Amino acid sequence: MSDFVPRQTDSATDVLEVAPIEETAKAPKAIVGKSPGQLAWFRLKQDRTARSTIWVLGFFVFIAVFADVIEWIYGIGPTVNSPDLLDTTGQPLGYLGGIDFTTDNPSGHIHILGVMPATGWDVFMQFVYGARTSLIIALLATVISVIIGIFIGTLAGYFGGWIDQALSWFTDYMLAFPFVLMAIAVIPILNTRLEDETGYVTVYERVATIIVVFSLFGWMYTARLVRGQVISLREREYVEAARAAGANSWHIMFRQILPNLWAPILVTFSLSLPATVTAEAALSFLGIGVQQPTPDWGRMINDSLLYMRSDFMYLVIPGVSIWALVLSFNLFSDALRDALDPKSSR
Amino acid sequence: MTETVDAVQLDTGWKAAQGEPLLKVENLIKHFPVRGGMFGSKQHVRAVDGVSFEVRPGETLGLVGESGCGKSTTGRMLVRLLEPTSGKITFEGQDITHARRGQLQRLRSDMQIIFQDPYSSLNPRHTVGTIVGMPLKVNNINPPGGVKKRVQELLELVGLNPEHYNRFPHEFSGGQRQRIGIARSLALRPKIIVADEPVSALDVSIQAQVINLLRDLQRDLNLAFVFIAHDLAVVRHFSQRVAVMYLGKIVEIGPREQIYNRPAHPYTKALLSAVPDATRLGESVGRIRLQGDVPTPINPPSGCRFRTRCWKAQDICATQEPALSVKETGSLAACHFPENAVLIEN
Repeated sequence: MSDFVPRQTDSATDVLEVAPIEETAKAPKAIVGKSPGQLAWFRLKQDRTARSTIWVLGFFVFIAVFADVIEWIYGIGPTVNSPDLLDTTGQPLGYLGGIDFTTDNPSGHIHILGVMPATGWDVFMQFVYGARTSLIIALLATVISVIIGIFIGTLAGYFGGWIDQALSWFTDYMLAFPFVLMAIAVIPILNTRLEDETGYVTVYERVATIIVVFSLFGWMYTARLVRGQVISLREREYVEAARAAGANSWHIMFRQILPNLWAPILVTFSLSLPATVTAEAALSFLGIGVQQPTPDWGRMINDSLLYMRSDFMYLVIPGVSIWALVLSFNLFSDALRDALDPKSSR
Repeated sequence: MTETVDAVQLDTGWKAAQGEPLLKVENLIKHFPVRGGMFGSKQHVRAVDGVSFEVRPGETLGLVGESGCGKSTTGRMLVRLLEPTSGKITFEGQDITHARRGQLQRLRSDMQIIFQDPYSSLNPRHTVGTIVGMPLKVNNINPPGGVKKRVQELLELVGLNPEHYNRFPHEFSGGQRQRIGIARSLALRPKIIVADEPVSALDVSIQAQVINLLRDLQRDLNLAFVFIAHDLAVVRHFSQRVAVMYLGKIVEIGPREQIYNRPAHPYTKALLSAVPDATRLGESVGRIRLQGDVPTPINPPSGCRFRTRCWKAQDICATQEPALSVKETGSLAACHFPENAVLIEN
């Protein structure tokens, strides 16, 4: 699956499919060695979907990383109260939720995505910092759960026997939990344990709780995938060659087998990342994720439902953000899978 | 049974001048458990069922037979990739049948294996340098001048450009890949190499190159080979002695010329008659066509295992298993009615 060279057993169409890519890859200079990873990167760059989604994802990552810089340039923070921008019922003045590209207003700042009802917070800065919250939680939770999955899957697949049976049983056991119900039950309990005398839980503790819960309930699919792949790869002759040379199990698992699994692991990773973004938004929407005043897209949607009739834009902005991020991630993972495994058929 | 012992001793006397055998295999057995049906009792595939032979330093023993006769299983047991069910393997006078860590470590460096499929025997994610240097690395050997220098020497030794150190396997042809596999097996300076059909996956034009390379290496490094193949012409070219296997047993073993010119066992004769000969093109005289398929190794025939397909089979063949004994032709064969010979005993 990670071998990009057409084998002898391949059908003629396969050879025809792969050959032109290699020709263009190698034509300019005489012979330049390319690793399988470099070839995959080359194919990814050829893919129009991948190129456009990389820009969208790059935009979200950029605003998440440079949120502070954006705040400095933009001139106003995410949680600055501006009651003067609201009417007496708490609704934003002006059109489309108070969108204003001029500084000719009581707050003295531009509000390119309008302001929030009731508080007058700037929606654009909420969106920028919300991207940071979403991406940090999703990234850390996915990385941790994929690492757990790799370990459990590799051990189960490589050793087989009762180790495999026990670990597979445990994987199925964990899969049987309804995740959202578990999260609703577990997160408040954990937060109650973490809170100080006044009942206050810091933002970091809340975020850490969410990450831990996502990691503990998110590794099973990776584990299953890795287990299956390891079972098929451990019979390869290069694994036997390593064993015949005296390599220990650790070397075989993590030096011989795992490098051949980066392709499927990368694809699972990029597929489960947007799923985590959605799930995190869902938790915040349900009120058990991050809380006010931490900016978060899911929490913004939750908040916006109160004003849905009068201030429609407030609902649209976080909704479209989540939609764009998740769609880009999913399209990107599809393109990534095609690039890493050119022989797979859709 | 006594005849068998005598026979083995006679075989040993064949080249007594060369002293102790490097590798001695006695009554080696490998049974694989298989499940027979839902409530079926546990059955065993008798892949290798009592194989005995010896290999002297610098000598090549050819192991031939059709698919599924246990050649590869035997080879894998020799390098301890498979644990023998019973029997005894002696290497340089030491019993290594169930060698554990420390002893195994030393054994690994003295005994290496070359695999059949050059496409699956090299890790597609590793560079040639990593692949060839792997045995040094896993054994923590730091050769004078560094691993890289040693790897480049090895590449040169097998006729590859040492500057291809940083390339990946997919950039090489089948023959070159097999050379990389050979370089890897030479990295630990072994005394004996088990070559498991090293050329059967290659083009005929490349086969000769690789065989000649192996022969040069054998001469220069005084290597012993257990050369597993189903191509009789290749074995004849490469081996001093030949063992013919059928259904998990050796049916005939002896010096090359005896096996090829004066086969004693009917199966050997049938195998040889199947080799295409350009000088006898169009003639069908002399071609022995064996009827039927190889019986299942789960439940092999009683007595002589070849009797179901043998044109000479009589009642005694079904009841009494013929032991390996010296036949008139000079080789050791397990047959009640050998070719070109009258029985020595009975």
